[in-house]
Amino acid sequence: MISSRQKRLLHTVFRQVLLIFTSLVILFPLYIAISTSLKEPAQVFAYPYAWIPNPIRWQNYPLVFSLVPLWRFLFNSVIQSTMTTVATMVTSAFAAYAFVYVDFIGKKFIFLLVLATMMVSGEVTVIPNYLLVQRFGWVDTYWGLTVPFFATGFGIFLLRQFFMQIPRELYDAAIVDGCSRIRYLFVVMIPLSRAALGTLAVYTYLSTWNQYFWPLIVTNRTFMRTVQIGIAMLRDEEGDAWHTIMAGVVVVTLPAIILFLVFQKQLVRGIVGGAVKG
Amino acid sequence: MLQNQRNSEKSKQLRRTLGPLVSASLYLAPAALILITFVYYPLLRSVYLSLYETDFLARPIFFTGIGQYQELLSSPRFWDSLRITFLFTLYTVPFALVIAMPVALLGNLPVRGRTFYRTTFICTIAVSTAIASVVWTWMFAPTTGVMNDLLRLVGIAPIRWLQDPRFALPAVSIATIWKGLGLNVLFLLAGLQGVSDELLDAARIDGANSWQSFRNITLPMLSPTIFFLLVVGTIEAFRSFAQIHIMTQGGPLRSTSILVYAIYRDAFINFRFSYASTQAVTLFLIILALTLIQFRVVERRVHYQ
Amino acid sequence: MKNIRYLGTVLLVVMLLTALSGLGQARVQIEFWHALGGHIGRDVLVEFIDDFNDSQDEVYVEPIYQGSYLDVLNQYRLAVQAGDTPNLVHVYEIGTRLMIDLDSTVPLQAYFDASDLESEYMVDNVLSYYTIDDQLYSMPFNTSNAILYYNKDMFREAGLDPENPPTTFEELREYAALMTGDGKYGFGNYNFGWYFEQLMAVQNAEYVNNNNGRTAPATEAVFNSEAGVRILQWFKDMVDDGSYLDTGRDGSALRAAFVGGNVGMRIGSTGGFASTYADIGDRFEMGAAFLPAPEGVERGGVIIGGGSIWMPKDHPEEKLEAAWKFLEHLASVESTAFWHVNTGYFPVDRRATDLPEVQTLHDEFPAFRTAIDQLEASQQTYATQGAVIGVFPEAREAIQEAYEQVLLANTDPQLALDEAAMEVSAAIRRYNIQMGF
Repeated sequence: MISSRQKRLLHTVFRQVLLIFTSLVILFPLYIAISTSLKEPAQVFAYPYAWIPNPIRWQNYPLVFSLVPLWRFLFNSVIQSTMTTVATMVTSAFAAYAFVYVDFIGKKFIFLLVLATMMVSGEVTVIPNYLLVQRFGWVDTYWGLTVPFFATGFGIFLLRQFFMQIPRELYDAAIVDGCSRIRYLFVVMIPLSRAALGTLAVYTYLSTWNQYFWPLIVTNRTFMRTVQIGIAMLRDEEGDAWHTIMAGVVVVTLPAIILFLVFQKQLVRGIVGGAVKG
Repeated sequence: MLQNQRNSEKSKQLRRTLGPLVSASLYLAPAALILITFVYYPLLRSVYLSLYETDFLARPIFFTGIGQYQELLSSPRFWDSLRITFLFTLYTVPFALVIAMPVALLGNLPVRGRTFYRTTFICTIAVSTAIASVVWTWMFAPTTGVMNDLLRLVGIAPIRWLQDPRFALPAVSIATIWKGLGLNVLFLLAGLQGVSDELLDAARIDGANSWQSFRNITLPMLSPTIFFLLVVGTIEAFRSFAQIHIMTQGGPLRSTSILVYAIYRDAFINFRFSYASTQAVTLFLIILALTLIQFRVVERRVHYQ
Repeated sequence: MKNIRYLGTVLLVVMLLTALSGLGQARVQIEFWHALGGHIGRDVLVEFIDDFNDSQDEVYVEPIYQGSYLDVLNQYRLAVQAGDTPNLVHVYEIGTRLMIDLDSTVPLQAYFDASDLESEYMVDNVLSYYTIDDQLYSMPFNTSNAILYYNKDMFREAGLDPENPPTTFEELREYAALMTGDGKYGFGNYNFGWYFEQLMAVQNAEYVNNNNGRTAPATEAVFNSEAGVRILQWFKDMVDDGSYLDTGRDGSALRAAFVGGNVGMRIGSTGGFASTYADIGDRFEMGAAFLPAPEGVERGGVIIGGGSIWMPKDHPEEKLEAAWKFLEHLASVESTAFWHVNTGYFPVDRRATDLPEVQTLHDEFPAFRTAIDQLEASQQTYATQGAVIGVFPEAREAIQEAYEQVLLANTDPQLALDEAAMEVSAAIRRYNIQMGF
């Protein structure tokens, strides 16, 4: 006979095993990246596959920094992501506010136009955009990297959904009390929406950090390149040195993971706040 | 008198329409400026170019009208690309959600180490598509890759993941699903917090098993989240580029040549910018239509609180 | 070659020093876009350019990596359209026709004639590839051929003589079968259109009409000939034998398989010698052999691959002069020897082979010598000069699709190539109309 206590214990063990297994599966590719980044070149091409680097070769990390100016790339990516994030939050908050609290003609239609921008693929608009940015003299500048992304349909959509959650009565009451619309935005809406804004910030930051195609097109000089392109620079048409590539992969992914860990609570709370309920 | 009153009423009405319009414009101006300049202008430019034959520098040379649209619609390759795009979307959106759901439920269990597990489940959010593609390319390598070594350990013959037209799209999808898992789980977890415990408790008292309470309570209450993920995921899938570019370049046998990649190929390999624009405009219309359908059809079934 | 590892550190110091020494001097800045990624682009090229920058104080060259060859070409097209070109741009050999037709660069013939460079010492095949209508348009830079790499240890294990590599398609197939088994493949390949072009030239067969587009603009693709079919059939036969590892479009997976000792033979670029030797280390002994030809077919030769450097116009005269100065340096005996030793790319100046460092290298790694022998043994015909068409990237894509059709969908090679030829011919016609030919 299994006592109920044993049963509960079994239950706990079973759950833990399941959780650990799932974690392992999800972390697996990251383990492969990290372990490959610590291998000797000979081990990289070993057959059968070498699961554990032996000996561990830390030099791959200094090596990767000596191969490409990764610090500079990291710096550029930080600037790029920060600028884009701040600007997107401002433009999105204003626009979303108008969509929720101003009743103007053609609102639905214009909102649809905003949504539609999410569906325009960047690969498609790249040539006209490049020529535009070039005419502005923005090639190889942070402006060229960031300004085209200073507003996104996604940001406006996300904040609008969140703003709609906040009871309308609050707004009506404030207006009756003589609060101006713009004041209400700053004094009530933004503090109430901290979580949603946090979500948008992290999302924008990460997706900007991850950009690949546009930075490649709009920057020419090495000192303006971003980390994602830094990884591409480590690849070799004649054959990849996977240990250095993976060292680069780890170095580039680490800041994003750290950022994620730091803001994780914010992120989860932001979405828990109900940003996705219409 | 009457005239005046009518006039003032008219102007009042005018003010009532114009007033909000003016203030809305002010709020919308910053976003509008950016979106018009960097999304709508290039899009219109693409429409314009799609009506011309262009030279190798993407400059229009002569007017073709809708000729290229006709060429596109009668091209079997286009329909094939479209089919692959839908298949890819199927793999990476509903499929991905089906995978993410149990992971999110696991992450929601009240167990020791929950924060750690949650962090693990969400962490792929921090990995870029380019990076994920590079790592998975390495894992899928035919002889030196770890995936085939795993198969070897369980006694299965190696699979030519990215070289076999039957496996390439699923393989690219696996990488994409893995990369997208973090975001999906994050949103689902958030949604799960909103599922009321009282309802679940009540259901348990009424004798519902866990599947029943999931089916009848959790799922409906998650539907706004699922809907949101569906919409955003579909748009993402239709716009995917980096993973195809890095992992398969549309091959083998065009089995991974989704529309965006076909556009890239025409613009940057075949130097047919006008034809690429034609496809781009078509793609835009398709996504637009799909999103409208999703809003019209699916949203109706979404349960809002 | 071991010191390559320490190069990185040395480079940093050198870069710092040059940055310091460059302060306050009015040197002509030259922007040089290139497509050399990986070790060659980061280490060898940078060292080469630093040396040049240090050797004089008038010109300062800044190398800018723009991604793959295709990326460079695309970036350059955008730059031309925007009127903002670099001073030098590195373009792969198959971009030659398009570059000429874009008419955005200065042909180099006049500069060449006025310089100290002596064409009599330059390897003919190389010069003739980039000479069209008697004009040298660009400066040959990294030139390579395809060559057969093989694993001598696997030859021994299979009871084959490692000093007698296969010379024909048939022999190679036979050897491959002998080396196959136990997770190993006798032959490995990846789907790269360049190899098809090379194997056509080996059979002295042309790719497009009008003498490979060299006597008049090509109007039609002709690679769907018997020669073309033989190549794909040969691959297919080995696939059916089970002796062929196809890594699809992933060249680095093939390299990993070869370096890892899982593949007995492969076709590869001579430009990859140095790094392949380095990666193999002492795991096994590598050999190199001429590309095989089908039995009973007269041997043509190999085509020049790699890239050349173009000089965009619409820059002030002093910039052009400075850019040329760098190109002239690039073509010097010492420079070509440096490239050869550090990569495997050919010494464009034949005198380089007499230099002691090159001799030593050839004694230690005979593959380098085999590559030069293969090039010199090539007949000079339109077939081995290589095709010039403006739509080469698309043509390569079409060939690569034909390869997949045959290997993965069991399409008849003739049928697959016919379809590819039709597509390429249509692209050529479109190109000719656009260019007004």
